[in-house]
Amino acid sequence: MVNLAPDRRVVEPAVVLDGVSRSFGERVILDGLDLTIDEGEFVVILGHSGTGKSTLLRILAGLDQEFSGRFLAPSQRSIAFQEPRLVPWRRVLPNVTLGLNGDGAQDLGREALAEVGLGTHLRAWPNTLSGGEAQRVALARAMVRKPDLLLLDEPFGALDALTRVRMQELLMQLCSKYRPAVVLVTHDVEEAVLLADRLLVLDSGRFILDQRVSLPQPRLRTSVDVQRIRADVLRALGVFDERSESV
Amino acid sequence: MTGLVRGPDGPVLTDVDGGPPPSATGQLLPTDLPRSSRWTVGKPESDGRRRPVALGRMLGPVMLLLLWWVLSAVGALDPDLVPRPQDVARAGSHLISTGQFQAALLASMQRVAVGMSIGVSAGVSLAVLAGLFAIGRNLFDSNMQIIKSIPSFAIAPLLIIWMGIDEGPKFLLIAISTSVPVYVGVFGAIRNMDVRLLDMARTLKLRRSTLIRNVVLPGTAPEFLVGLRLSFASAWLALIFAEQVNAKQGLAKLMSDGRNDFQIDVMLFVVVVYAVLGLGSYGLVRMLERRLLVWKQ
Repeated sequence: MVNLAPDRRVVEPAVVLDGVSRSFGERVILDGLDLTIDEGEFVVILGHSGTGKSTLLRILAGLDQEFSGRFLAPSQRSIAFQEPRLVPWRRVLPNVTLGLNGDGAQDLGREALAEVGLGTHLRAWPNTLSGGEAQRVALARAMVRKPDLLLLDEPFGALDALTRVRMQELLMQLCSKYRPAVVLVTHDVEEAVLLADRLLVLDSGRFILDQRVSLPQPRLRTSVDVQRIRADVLRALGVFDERSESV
Repeated sequence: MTGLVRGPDGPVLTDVDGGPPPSATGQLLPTDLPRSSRWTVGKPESDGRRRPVALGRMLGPVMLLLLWWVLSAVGALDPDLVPRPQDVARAGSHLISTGQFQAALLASMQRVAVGMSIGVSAGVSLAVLAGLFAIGRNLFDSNMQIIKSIPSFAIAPLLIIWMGIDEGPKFLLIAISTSVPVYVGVFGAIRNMDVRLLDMARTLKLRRSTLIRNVVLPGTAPEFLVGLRLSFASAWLALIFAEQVNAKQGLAKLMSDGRNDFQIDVMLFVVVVYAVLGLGSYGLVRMLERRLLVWKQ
């Protein structure tokens, strides 16, 4: 991890993107992105479908090597996807501890599952879990590795509205406790405003909005400030209907 | 006609036979229908499935045996050509009392056990190598397809010429013919693995051995078991060819002795034994299924 300017910065950067580009054939998806994310910063990336949000996340996760430019990121990073992607033929606890070594792995796994409220589901099969439960296991699997960078690709996109609200609260709890840097990709503008320290809107391969959200947590979705920022973001996305929930 | 069918979240009104949907005016159904035919609650069709059937899966074979017995009793079958079940049973009990049968069965089962152990392990190992590594694929996949297309009885004489007439070629013949079905199943399962799951595994930075043991191999269990079932069938078939030459013991020896002495009851008894062994291996695979596929529920 390179320390860019040790004497001037209070916090160190967790992620530095330097001219990151990615094309699929002729199509340029990411067009020379520069970005610095601080330690413990909660960044939410919004954008229309196909603007390369997930591609950026895959690059940060190390799953996409076909990019140009360079980036620095912590070696301890975890990712959770829209689908839980649990190993169906392993019970819940081994799913969480998969690939962890050492004597304490089992205990760490149990703790992580207790923290997401699934301390009693250690021996359940993934197929028997509800969508929300499975996604909490995926979150436990991500958090048990004590990531410095947590990557979330629409993790609540497939959940019903009530479960989504509970998952957002759980995520905020975990993040305020462990303070990883977070990059969350979502389509849900309200979710973005509620969770983000910083909002980025990706369009045509570039960031067209980079806005800090300095409202204190917890935020109420009905508060005037939240609604105002939400309207700003929707405008940046080219959506002017005040009632639309997502893009 | 509409019916109340239990959906995943409780009863939902569905159109059962594709007729016109109920009108919004509230005239749902003709009221002169008997009540029972107007609504179906729950899953009446599936009630019968849960009921334990007498004899379970043995019902079919038992009926077959019964048919044989009845046809023999009414004289529809010439007892000189098709002995009665009780004659076959008598021939069998004679073979058992002399110990011939036990020796033959043990010898044959040993051949299948050894040959299959080698064949199935080789099939799975080659499938993993071919499924996960390009070099493995280039080395083994076409070869396995070639082996697949060669009937085992075609190579039996060659194996005997090369390896002599001891147990070696018998094991090898069974091993070759049982390796193919599990190879095909496991290789296909690995090639069709969910890439999203493999992506996830990559982000967890799993060691290759952990990946194979926890993610790849257990996921191939359904296809492996289908392959294993076919392997068992191939094994008993290959056994017959393997025991054609110089088998001092074995079921095929019993069979050929019976043929030489024109003891059709003995020959039929061996056929029944093959049938029981086939059924037994099927049961073994089903037992494995229950153990390996618990996660499917």
